[in-house]
Amino acid sequence: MKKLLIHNQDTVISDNHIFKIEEQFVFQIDDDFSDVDYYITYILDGVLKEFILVSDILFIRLSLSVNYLEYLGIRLAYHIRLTKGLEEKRFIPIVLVGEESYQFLGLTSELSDILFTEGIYLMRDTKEEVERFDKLFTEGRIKSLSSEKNFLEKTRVNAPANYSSHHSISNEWSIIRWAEMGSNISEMLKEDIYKKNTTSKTLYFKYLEAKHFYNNENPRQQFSKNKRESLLIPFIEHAKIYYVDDEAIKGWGKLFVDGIFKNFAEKGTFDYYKGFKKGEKKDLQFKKLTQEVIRLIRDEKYNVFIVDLKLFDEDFLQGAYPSGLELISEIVKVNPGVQIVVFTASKKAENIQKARGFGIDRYVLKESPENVLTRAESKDIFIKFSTAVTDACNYSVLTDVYSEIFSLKKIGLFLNSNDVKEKDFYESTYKKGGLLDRIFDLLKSKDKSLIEFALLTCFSILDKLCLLKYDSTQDFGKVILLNDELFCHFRSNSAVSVSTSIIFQRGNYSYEIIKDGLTNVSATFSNTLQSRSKPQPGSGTGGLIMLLAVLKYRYNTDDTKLNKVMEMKFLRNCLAGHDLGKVDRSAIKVKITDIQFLLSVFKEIADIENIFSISKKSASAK
Amino acid sequence: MKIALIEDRISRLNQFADQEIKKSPILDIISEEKFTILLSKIVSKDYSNLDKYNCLLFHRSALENKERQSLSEYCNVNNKPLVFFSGSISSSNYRDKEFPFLYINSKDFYSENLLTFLKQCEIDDEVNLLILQFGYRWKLNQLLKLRNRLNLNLNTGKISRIRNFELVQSVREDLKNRYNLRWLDQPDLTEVSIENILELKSKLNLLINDSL
Repeated sequence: MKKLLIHNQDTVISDNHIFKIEEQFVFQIDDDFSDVDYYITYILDGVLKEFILVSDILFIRLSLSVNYLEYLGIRLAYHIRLTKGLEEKRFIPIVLVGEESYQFLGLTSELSDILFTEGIYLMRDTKEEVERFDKLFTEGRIKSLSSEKNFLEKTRVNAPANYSSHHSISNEWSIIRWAEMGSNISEMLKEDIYKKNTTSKTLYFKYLEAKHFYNNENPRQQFSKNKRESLLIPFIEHAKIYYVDDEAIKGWGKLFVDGIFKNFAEKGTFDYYKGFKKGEKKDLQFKKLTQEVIRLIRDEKYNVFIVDLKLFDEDFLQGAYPSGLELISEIVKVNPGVQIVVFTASKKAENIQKARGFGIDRYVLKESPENVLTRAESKDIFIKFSTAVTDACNYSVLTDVYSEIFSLKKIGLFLNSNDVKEKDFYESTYKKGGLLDRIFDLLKSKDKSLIEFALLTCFSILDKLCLLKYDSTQDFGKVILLNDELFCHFRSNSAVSVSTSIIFQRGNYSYEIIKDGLTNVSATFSNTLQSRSKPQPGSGTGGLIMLLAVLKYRYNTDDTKLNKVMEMKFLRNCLAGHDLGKVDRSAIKVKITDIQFLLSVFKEIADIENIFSISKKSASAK
Repeated sequence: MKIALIEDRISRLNQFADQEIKKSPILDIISEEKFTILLSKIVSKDYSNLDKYNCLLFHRSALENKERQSLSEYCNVNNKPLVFFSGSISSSNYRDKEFPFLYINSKDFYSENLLTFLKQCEIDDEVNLLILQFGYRWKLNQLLKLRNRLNLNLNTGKISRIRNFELVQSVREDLKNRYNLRWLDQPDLTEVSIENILELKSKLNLLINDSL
């Protein structure tokens, strides 16, 4: 019988005649180990493992520390049963050595369940007892544990305080798993993460892991070197990402900067909040956090926020409203165009619902040990995260759109006008739920087809505004009001021919199926009002001429922009079915930047119109 | 007697430390601004703010590794009992190789044991970390240790002196008074016969059973 005695020098049977030196292991926690479980895991992965792998039976002192009642021998026995690295040897008979009875241990140890499982024995600390067990073993009357499942059903391990919430286990588990999975994560960073996240070394975790193994009938797949994947989110130009999570200090921050968001961090477009401060009240901390986030949106143009929901201890109290949601509501107030990804361990349906209430549909749950067993499942969670972040980055430009709309609203063109048409323009454009709001809502909806409606809405504004300054009621033809004093005339000879100063020729765009006789030439615009051109009949150019003429001669819009407006107007006509030419609908792609362009044209016009209005006021005051 | 409780997680403190604990005349709770000041001093290895305390109860994660080490050195030099409590510590563990030092899970720390510990420190004018670790069962721990020691003496045949039993005063008093073991009054270096050890062990078993 190959036997091994594990003790801390305080036993009768450590005598060399009973157990030879090579049959003894001295259990001695170094000061380096703050946690008993870390020390036990350390020795079971190293030196003690070597001993156990060549043993047939283990004798463990009940007490392995200064304080008897700690019963570290029982704890060690649990670890041995649950440490997979010990292979079949983890099931060999364990004899616990001490003066205490089963009943006594049952009353005084919180881990006493193990005493009543197969393969666990109890003996007094005497030489005779060792000899008795020696004999029993030789006679085959000492059994190993035959069913791990049975062991798990009979035992129970309580969670340490920090792990009593599912949130903390998930957080630690998730980061360890991603660190293991990432082929682009340096060994140094991994070590750092392992040091900060020690869940997997605790008895509680090993117990959970074993239980889930039996419930799922499959072992958890590991990430060996050749199974690893690159965890690198591709860089997206205009996106600036900020991460808010109290767990960032546990390694998430570094994992993001040096790994997952490396492409962004190197260009200064990824950062995370480091201001969670020990010892400070939640209210004060939250205030600082909110102020910082608002500053980052306004001054540093961060437009994508990855937010955890539970940011402070108080969030874990029953019925507490998660600080992350409070923060999101503040972000949305500042700029609803800012894109948010919720990345959390909180899977409460209530929180998911609340996040949806703020329009957040990117909700990524951190990996949790009981749900994820295969490599594919782990990868899938990363892909979900990556997809959500990439999507957020793609829509991050909405932050600028909102800012543009906000600044347009500040101008409030025709707010004080007495003209009925101008007043109507103001009402329909600027009021809550008006055309500007509609443009933002359409873009925000993320429905690709709705972006086309946003383009139509932009032209509703531009057309309406230009029409206000394009008077066709005069007898002599059409008139552009250049300003309040100077009138410019356009002659109209027939229904299909309009005299304009614009030398206009229809261009072809990528979505058009080319018609004979049409060449791909952009329009040129004369600076005088003398030359004439003949618009293509039936191609919806009447409105175009009105728009371009007003832009050109009232607002001095430059030719490059006019060409772009013309292109957009054709696009608009095609979308609205006004253009009679054949178009390939699938090739029509309206981009958010197109909308931004049209808003910028509107902004220019509004600024000029505002100046006209100010100078008119001051003139009348004189 | 003064004990410092240093806690950066205010909500936990408010949640678990009831009014009775907060009102303890020997306890100074160091949190919020006081914590920030103390932390900055500890970082620069200035422990003058801690000198007046007989025992330090520290939230482990409030300090970085470097600061924890130097604080341990300070406690070692001054033989000052130190407790690190943390939510992530799995099982409490007491070490007294150099100075009384206890690692304890925050759930066990913020329990009835803390109040019992404070009250007892106030009465005895002495710090007994075992009370913090095991509460009312702290004596049982001593009794089990003693039984183990007696067993070792009996089975190894080594000469035993009263001193070898490392009896804490209250256990010694219990044994003497309840079981009339007057020989325990003799000087510490007195040799103890096997008969006396056997007698002590049998009385100890009674005391252990009574302690449950």
